[in-house]
Parts: sequence; C-alpha cells; structure tokens
Amino acid sequence: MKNLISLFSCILLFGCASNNDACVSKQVSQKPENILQLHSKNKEKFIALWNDKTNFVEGETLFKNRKYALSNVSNPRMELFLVENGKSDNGFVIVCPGGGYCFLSSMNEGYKVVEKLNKMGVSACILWYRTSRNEALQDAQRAIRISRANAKKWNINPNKIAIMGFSAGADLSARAGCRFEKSYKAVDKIDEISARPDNTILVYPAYCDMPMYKLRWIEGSMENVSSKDYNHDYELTPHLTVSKDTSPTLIVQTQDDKNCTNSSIAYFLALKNAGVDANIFLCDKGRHSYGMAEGKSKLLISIWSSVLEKYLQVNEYIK
Amino acid sequence: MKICKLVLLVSVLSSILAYGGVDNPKGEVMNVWPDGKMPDRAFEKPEIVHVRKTGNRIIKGVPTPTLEIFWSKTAKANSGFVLVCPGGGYSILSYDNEGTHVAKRLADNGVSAGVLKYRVPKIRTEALQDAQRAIRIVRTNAKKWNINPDKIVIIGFSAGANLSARASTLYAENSYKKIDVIDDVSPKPNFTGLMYPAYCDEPTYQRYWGNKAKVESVDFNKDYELSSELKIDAQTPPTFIMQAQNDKTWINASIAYFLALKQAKVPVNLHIFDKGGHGFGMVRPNELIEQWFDLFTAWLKKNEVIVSK
Repeated sequence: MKNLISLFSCILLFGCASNNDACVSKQVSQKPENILQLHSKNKEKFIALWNDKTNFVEGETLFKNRKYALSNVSNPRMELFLVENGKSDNGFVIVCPGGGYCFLSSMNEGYKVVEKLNKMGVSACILWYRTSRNEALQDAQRAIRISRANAKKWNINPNKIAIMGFSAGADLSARAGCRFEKSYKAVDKIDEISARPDNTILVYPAYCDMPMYKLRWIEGSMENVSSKDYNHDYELTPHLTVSKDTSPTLIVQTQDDKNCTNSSIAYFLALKNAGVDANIFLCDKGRHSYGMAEGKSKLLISIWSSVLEKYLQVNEYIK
Repeated sequence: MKICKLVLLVSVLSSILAYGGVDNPKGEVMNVWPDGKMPDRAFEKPEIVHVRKTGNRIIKGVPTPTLEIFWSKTAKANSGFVLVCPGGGYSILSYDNEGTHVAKRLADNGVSAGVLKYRVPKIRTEALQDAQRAIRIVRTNAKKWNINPDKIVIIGFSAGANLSARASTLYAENSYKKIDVIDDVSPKPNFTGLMYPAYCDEPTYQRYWGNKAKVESVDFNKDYELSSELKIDAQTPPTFIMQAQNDKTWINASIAYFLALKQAKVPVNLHIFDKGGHGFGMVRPNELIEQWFDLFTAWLKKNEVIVSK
C-alpha cells in the first residue's frame, strides 16, 4: 500500500513537473478574476438602482474578451466604498467608468479610482450603468437621488455629491451636470429628490463637441476621425444644455488626445460663457484611458490626482 | 551744516531703500546694456520706486534696465535658467511680487532665475529690446554660469506675460541693431510661461495698444482671436499658461494663445482655475489657483529645466 501511495505521488509529481501545461493552467485559474466573476461573487455588495434584484448579473458579458471590460449591464447598480472615519458629512463621488457606451472599463476607471478617492478621505461608489445613452442618463440621475436619500445612513453630506467620469463616463457626467429635466417617470419617493450633482469632474471627456458627437452618434462611425477640423470647431453638442445652473466643473485632459481634446475645450468655453465655475487642467501629453495616470510618471498628467484632491478640499468634500 | 544735511539725506534714502529691501530677497544685479549703448528711449529721470505696505516695490520709471539674478545653490549640472518679467500694464513693474519673490523661490527649487527690470512706462518696443538682450546675455554666459543654453525659459505676469509672448514669437526679427558678440546668439527662448497674461487676444491688444476703433463691440464669449502682433507657428516654444476664470477682462488672452498653439501643434499646458482674480503673483489667494507654482516647477522638471538627477 505504502509503495502504491509513493508510486502515485511520484507519478503526480512527475506529471506536474513534466506536464507544464497542467501546472500553468492551474496557476492561471488562480489569477485575479475577470469582472464578471468578481461581480458574481459579490452580489450582495451592490445596491440596485431600480428594483430589489441585486442578485442578477445574468446576460452580462466581457467586451471582446477583455478581462475588465463589463458589457451588457441589464441590472444597473451602485457599488459603495464608504470611508469609515467617524465623520458624518463626508463628500461623495459617483464614479462612471468609460468605454464608449459599449462597455465599462472597470479597473482603470473604476476600482483604482475609488481606491484613490477613499485614500483622500472621500466616500465613493462605482456606477455600473446601462451602456445605452438614454438609459445611462436615467441610471446616473437615479444614483444621485439614491445617494442623497441615503446621506444620513452613509454618513455623507447630501450637498457634496459629485459625479465623476472618464471618456464616455465623462460625457454621461456632463449630461447629468446640465440636464435636470426628468429622464424617466418617477418610480418612488426617491425620485422627488434633486438629481443635480453638486460638482462634476470630467476626465478626458468624449462626444461633447459637435464634430465628434456627429461622427459617433449621427453618422454612426468614427472612421473619418482624422479628416475632421479639430482646429476651429469648438461648438458644443445640443445634448449638453449648459446654463448658469450647470454644476461647477473640473476638466482633466491632454492636448494629444486626438479627437477627444475638443470635447474639453467645447465644454469649458460653454461653462465660461454661462458663468459657471470651471477649471481645466490640460497637459500636453498623456493620450487617453490612463485613469489615475499612475503609469505615466514621466508626464505632467501623472500629478492630476493632486489637482483633484485640492479641488475636493477647496469644495469641502474633504475637511 | 551741509554735511549734516547730507548725512540726513543719505540716511533717509537708505531707510527708504532698506524698508523696501528688508523683506525682499536680493540678487546679483547687472545692467542689460553696456554703458552708452542702450538703444532708443528710456525714462529720463531717476528711477521711481514706490513701496507698498506689503513691502512690494512698484517701479514707475526705469532709466536703466537690469537683470537681477538669484543663483540656485541646489541646481544640478545642465539645468536651465528662468527669466522673470514682472507685470504692471507696461506702465509700472510689480517688482517683488511678480519678480524677486518668484525668482528666489525658483532658485530654492533648483533653477537659477533672473528678474528683468525692463523699461517702463509705455515704451513697448524698448521692453522687447531689453527682453531679447537679456536672453542673449544668459545664452552667451551659459558655459560660464554652468547652465544649459537650450533650457532658457521666459516667464511673465500680466503685461510681463505679453512681453514674454512677444519674445517667444518675434525672435526672428532683431528689435535692435547688433552691439557686440552677445547679439550673435539667438534671442529665442526655449520655453515660455504665461501667468495671467494680458493683451494676447486681438480685442484687448487693439484696445490698449492698437486701434481702439477696431474693437467697437467685442463679444468676449466668442472672440478668441490671437493678437495680430504675435506670430505662432510650429517652432513657437512649448508653453505653460495659468489664469483664473474670474479674471474677466484678461482671461481671453490665455484662451487665444492656447488655441493658436494647439492649432500649430506646439506642446502647451493650460491651467485655468475658477477663482483668483488678477495680479496675485506669489501671494497665495487661498483658491485652487494657488497651486500654480507647484504645477509650474513640476512642468520645469518634466522638461528638464530643473534637473532631478
């Protein structure tokens, strides 16, 4: 018997040592999960926006097999990251990942962002919104209302609720910051609360200028991007109705973000014209999709989180 | 009796100078022009200095332009040099708040800097001559001063920023006739810093220095045309711009210059913050914009004007 066990162990060991593929595949399955697995595992953590069904992540997929690109959200939800510092009026930031309204870039523009915000002493949530434009705005407005309704319970200040987005998530945040008409019929009492964010933070926003908006949403294709005039057309798209009531804004962008840079310029100029407090931190290099820019230490854009922190301090999200 | 009066006069003058100098850092002063060779006009009386309660010296007439250098004790080999142009509408110079205090802080942060006391009042051509000559002096002395001649930055505040913009775009034309070998080197700065610039947009340029009739009605919400005095192209130096949004009269200068740089594909950093007004210099206005100096030194580091290693 002993001999059999020894023999079996040797075979196993040999098998493992020689059959590298089996060992490697074991290691791969122990690596960090993809976003679908992560969400399935933590179903109870989420707050459903529209119903009690926190539990269903069915039908959701990975976009083009990318590990952290969440697609086809049908049960939009918030994932809370509250700071526990004994204070009862922390600032709160709703983070909207980007992804062209095709998917949600969950790590770079989601989890890494809330981690940074918490370190600054600000409570936050990730908004897992539906990736279709009209429904996304409904989800954003609903999330702001739910946050305001839960202010006491979450120890946050109901007048310090900001919405922050990256790329398409920034377009969504800009829309939430200037469109206050109801985008959906009231579902319950929560919908009596204001959906206006107190501040808006836009990081490399997309689709805010007419040329890019037209390309993507009217012509339906980004193919002719390079032939467009990026040096003169800073017209804002009609879906952004900027007025003096639009939320004060911080815009973060780089000059070399090709077709996206003009979004920032168009929105900033519109805010300036409307007399809304506007801030723009624009560096020459960085391109797109860098999230908190921690990987860009050779470039000035890598310090943008310190500008964000000062913005949150001056606006009393951090005390 | 006469000696007593003389002693009295000297002590009064000294105390005025001392009062002005007590809280203000002092650098090494050198004339911009060799004796008797300064071109064109200058203030014909002795220099007028008014000292504000804060200690900030306001210079109202400059007969002799100078460069006051603050050497950095911490600057590493191959670091650059920053030329600082105070503002004051080309009529006066806010010499400390937008000059010596800036230069001293830069020196403390690893780059030598010099304050340009350019000719005022209201002789803009001569101001540009002073700036071009100052850049040439720095570049000619680069080896001797142990600085990199390709890392010369010109920065300015308000009218000083307009002067910096002119030095950064009009370098192809000599503003004065050659005097000596110093004028053999290029007066083109390698980098530019514009702090709450003025007159860089066409409307305010025409209104204050050009033809007022050209700007009967201006829509400050639409007119971002670059001043016709400035020429921007792909060779214009990389630029750092900062201004407050509520700097209503002047904010379009930043936007006009930025849009022109963008169009020419010149690397530019634009930092506009909601509040702060105008003219704050090194005084912290307790707003977001007070971080401008840290952003500026970070930019200098990324461009290796301040060398880290």
